[in-house]
Amino acid sequence: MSFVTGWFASYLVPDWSGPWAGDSGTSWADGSFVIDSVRDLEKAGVDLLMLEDISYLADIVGGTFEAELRVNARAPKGDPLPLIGRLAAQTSTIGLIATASSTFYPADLLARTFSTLQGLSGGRAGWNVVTSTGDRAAQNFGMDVLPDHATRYAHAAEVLAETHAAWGEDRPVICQAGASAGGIALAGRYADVVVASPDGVDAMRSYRDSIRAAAVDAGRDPDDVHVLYMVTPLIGETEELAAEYAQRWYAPTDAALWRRIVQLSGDIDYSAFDMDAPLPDDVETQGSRSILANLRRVAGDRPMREVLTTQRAQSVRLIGTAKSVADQMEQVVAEVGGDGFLIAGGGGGVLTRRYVHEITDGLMPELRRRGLAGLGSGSDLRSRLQSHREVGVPA
Amino acid sequence: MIWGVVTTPGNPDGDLATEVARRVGRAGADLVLIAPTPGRETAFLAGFMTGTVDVAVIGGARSADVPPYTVARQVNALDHLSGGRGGWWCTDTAENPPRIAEHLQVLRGLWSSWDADAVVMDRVSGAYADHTKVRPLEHVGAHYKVRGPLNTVPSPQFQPVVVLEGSTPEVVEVATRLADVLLVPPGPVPVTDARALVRMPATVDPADLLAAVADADGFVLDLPAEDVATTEALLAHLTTRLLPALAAHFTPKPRGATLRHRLSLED
Repeated sequence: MSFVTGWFASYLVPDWSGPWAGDSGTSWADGSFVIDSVRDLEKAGVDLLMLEDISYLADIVGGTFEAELRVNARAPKGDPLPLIGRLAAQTSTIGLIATASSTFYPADLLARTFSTLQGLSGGRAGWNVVTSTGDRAAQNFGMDVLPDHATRYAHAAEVLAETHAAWGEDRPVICQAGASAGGIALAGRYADVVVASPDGVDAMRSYRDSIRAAAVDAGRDPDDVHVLYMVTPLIGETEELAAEYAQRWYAPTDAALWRRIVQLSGDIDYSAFDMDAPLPDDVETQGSRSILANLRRVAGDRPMREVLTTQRAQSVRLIGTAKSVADQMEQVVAEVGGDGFLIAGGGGGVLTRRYVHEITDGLMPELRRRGLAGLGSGSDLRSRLQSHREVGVPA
Repeated sequence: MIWGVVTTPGNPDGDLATEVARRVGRAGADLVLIAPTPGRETAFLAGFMTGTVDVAVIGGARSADVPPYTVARQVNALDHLSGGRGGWWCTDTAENPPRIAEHLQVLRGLWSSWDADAVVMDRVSGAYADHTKVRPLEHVGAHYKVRGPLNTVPSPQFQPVVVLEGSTPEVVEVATRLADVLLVPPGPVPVTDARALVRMPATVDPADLLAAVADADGFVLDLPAEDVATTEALLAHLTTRLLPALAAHFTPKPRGATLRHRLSLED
């Protein structure tokens, strides 16, 4: 059988200043960077894309927008919904999953939005349900502070019940990424696709087991849920070149440190901590609890600098030639039990067209040659996902 | 003379509405408005059509249904995706003009929360944008509370086009202050700084249309994307009877211009 391949997409400014930036600094905003990438990914047989979102510009780090507008990990970022509408017109087989907040968007707007996308895309629509983080985000939607974690997840369940009632049979795919207990329960009840980055094969397996158990608890067939692990394959012409590439990619530079600080600082200013000391014990958040808990678990007593520059949101490091990375992916899926990968190329400020082509012209052809990945068969996104488990793709 | 049509989302795959937009765009229309329709999100359809049709496509929505921060972001994205032909048709103006005015004030404020020259791409400092040119809005009003700023770069029109509808003094006042286009019924045309477009059915006789637009800036015709035969008949009436009768009133417009330029609105 084969596994699902997805692409983690952002309507963010990609790398605009590096040697492979090209015109990306100006051409991203009109959508062409994402559209070009997605058309190539579709041709390469990628099953779906997940277009992420955050609906605020944060001034948490240092109390200004400076770090956000320098690092570009989260901003500037266009609204994903009009872009995914455009993608529906300009693609024909790839699944189109867009992120929208159940905390800030009214349920009827969400129901209307995703049924419209489902119609326009011919059954390829998906909704990545997020409950949002950060008081700053809440303040763009009439609230002073973000509702607490439990309230947000309870509300998300209500919104999902309401949208499902509006949709009936032809409903879009539901994607969920929360790794907290509330997120896992919600995913078990509703998700077709779960996106996660548990660190290492053992954590991946136990995470997948917990999602499948939650699906059984909700009275569903656990095989209806597809867990996609975040990875950033680094492909080189030779093992040596790939190792060099990885050394540069994972170098513990100041840029890497700042990037991680900005990504983490939803409501807590991580730049205020002493980078040469461990994470203080009394840090708490109502935002991304699983991210903080994970950081604490991974960090132990190590200094923040070391933790933040090396830690990435991915499950396994995939480094090598297309052949050896395909070997690694096959092995990981066999050990974990399924279901596929969501490939992220560094996101805002980092992604290049070159990286996209390493995947579309390097990795994907190798995976397809072996019948490990490629576009699933079926008339809509849900059946294509399921086909990987049931019949696989031809080699 | 400014002109356009008000169409509907049509069939679920959007083909019919796209065909209407494509055809009237080819006939020289300035804008295509999509009427709000239960169960359909028209901003999405506008995104679907960008890059496919050569005319500004503007979705209609009730301001009560979509938070202003979301409208501001979506219309900014539509303006980028369409190369400067994005806009928003706020369709519930008559229900509560003061609330709608505040909603539009928030939109305008969010679109101005980045200075037009905020993007600097400074390779020395590493700044993609100059953070001193990006300011929170801090809007606190009777109906909305929005901190801002917008989380993305200014769009080609900077202030995308806002469309309202109505002819009561309250609506006309809001349109003059905060909108760019005002759709009005046939009859006396209210005095407003917005472009006043008379809304009539696409079955109108040429003489009646000419009389109705005499004091207006132009017109929009209701041309729903229902079934192919009805839509074809309306398009034929438009292109063979109405447009030739009005030919003397049209002046050539620059191709590829932003919607604001086509409507002769200030930047």
